[in-house]
Amino acid sequence: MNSPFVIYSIRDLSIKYGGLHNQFELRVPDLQITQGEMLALTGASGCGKSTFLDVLALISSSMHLSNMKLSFGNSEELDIASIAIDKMNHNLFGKIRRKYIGYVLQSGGLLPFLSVRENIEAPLKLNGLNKDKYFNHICKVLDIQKHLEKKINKLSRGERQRVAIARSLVHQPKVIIADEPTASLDNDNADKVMELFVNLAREQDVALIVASHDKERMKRFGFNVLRQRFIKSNADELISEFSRE
Amino acid sequence: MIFREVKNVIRLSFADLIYEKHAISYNVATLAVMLAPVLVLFALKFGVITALTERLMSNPLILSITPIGQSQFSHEWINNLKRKEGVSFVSPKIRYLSAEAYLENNNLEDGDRVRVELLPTGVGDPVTSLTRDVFYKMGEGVQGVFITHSAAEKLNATSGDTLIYSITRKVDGNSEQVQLPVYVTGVVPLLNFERDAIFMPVDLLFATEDYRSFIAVNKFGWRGAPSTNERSFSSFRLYAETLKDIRPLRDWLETQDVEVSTKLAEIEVVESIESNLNTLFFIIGGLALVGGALTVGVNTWGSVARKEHELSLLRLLGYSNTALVVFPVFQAVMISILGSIAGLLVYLSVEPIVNAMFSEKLLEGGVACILHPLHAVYAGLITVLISFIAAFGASVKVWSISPIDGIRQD
Repeated sequence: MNSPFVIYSIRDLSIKYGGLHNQFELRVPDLQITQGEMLALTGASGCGKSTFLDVLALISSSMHLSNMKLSFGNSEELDIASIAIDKMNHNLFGKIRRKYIGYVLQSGGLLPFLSVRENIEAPLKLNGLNKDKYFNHICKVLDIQKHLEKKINKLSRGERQRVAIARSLVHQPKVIIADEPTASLDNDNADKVMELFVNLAREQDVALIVASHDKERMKRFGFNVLRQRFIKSNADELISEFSRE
Repeated sequence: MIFREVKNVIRLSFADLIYEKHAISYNVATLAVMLAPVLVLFALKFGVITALTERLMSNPLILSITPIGQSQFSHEWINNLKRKEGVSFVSPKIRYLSAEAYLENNNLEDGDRVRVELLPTGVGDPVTSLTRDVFYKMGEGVQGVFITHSAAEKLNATSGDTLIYSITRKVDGNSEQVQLPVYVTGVVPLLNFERDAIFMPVDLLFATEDYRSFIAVNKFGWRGAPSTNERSFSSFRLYAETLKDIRPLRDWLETQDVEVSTKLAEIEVVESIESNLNTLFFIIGGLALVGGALTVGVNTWGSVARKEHELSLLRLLGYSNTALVVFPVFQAVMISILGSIAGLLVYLSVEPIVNAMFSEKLLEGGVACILHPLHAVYAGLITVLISFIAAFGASVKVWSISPIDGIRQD
């Protein structure tokens, strides 16, 4: 079996935003995220979890500040900061996202004008892929087969999250990023959904990066939890650092 | 790659169009309500002008160009005139003094002779509507001629009758006369010619002139001297092909020192009505166009603002903003197509009412409001094109949509 390859390689990442008197800085001194790893970003609101996810999902407006390299197991390594200097290259990040990254939002982030089936098929069609056995497999595992022809507004919150998970996995990406994927669910439902999510991610050997306020649940499901700390805080500046524990 | 993206965006845009059918119906109705009055106005303009023009064209006198006074025109000059662009019919006339004869109906006991004006006719003559087949038959057996409605009334004659054609000349102070039976091929309607006249093939006309000039006409056994000089003509009958051909022909004749009279004054009245209606149409149509473009532009801008969340989710999935521009533009084009069809249906339902209201009073039974299928196609194409341009301009907002917007709003 091949050893897992490094997907994200981050060194001395620093992203600052805010005004002169209320500046916030996100720091990631050194971090590597490998294939198949399950990584959790936890911490209080405003600690920079979402900002960090934006950087990892290549959608941050401060990509040119990111000291980050990206690889998906082939020989090519992308230097994100140098690509982001040219704004015209931002559609390139879209192309990387559509192929290698799946995303799950807090309330699903599904398109209301499409049926469940069309929502799940969306990444396949965008990548020019055909629906295969895996589509049926994840629908069966996530128990959404009977909902395939329904519109999104006919689904419960839990069902929506399961559809969102199916959509993030269907094109078999290398990374799945989830921003509070179970925050809108009750505890029982949250555990069920997270269990299905984790099992499918492990099955695919995909790197699963989740931002959550619930550190204990993340640990319980076997996530490596990044340590978050405010290393310097004064009236004008707040610095939040993420590092391995 | 971009084609696959665009194809997918069109599919998504169409799905959204169906999903939002109630909101879309409102936009379609707005466009239809804007387009229908413009179509009615254009159809009215077209219908009225067409009816007035047709009424003018139905009167051959309108297309006539009449030389004033007499001159001398050679065969070559007349042939040259025949070849001019815009000439529908031309035929040489003989001297006025020779262009007179008598007709009498032998079937009448007390039938007076009727003095008639002699005029040439031929194939394509708009006054006699003479066709080639009829023209050839006129020369077989008894000589065929057309007589005017006025002459026919006085002679109590109709098509198919045979009349006596008499011409006279003075010899040493004494009158001499020859007669010829002529067959009435047709009667010229009063609208086409009001005076007592006989329209005949040029052969008979020239024979009449020769007889009066004491030149022998062997065909009819009329005595005289042999013909020596080449024939010249004192005038001609000329008809333009269309109303628009009259002015250039008149101008050309003036360059040839031929003074003519035309019915241009009557035509100019219609042209002036057309010009004023055109101006009115372009003002109202232009305002509707600007209004339509603004409506589509504002609707598209509003639609992009309303769909910002969905569009940013599509950006998050990996769609480029270049492809996503197609999302609102496709919807605007679909709405404009549906709006054009709806506008046309509104027009079609209004057309009979407008015709019932105006046709009888204004146009003596003519159609006041008429739209050709091609006009409807043009109206639809212009609507779609303007919508496309306006929507494309408004869709620049898509460029500023970031995937982050979708995540934060979720």
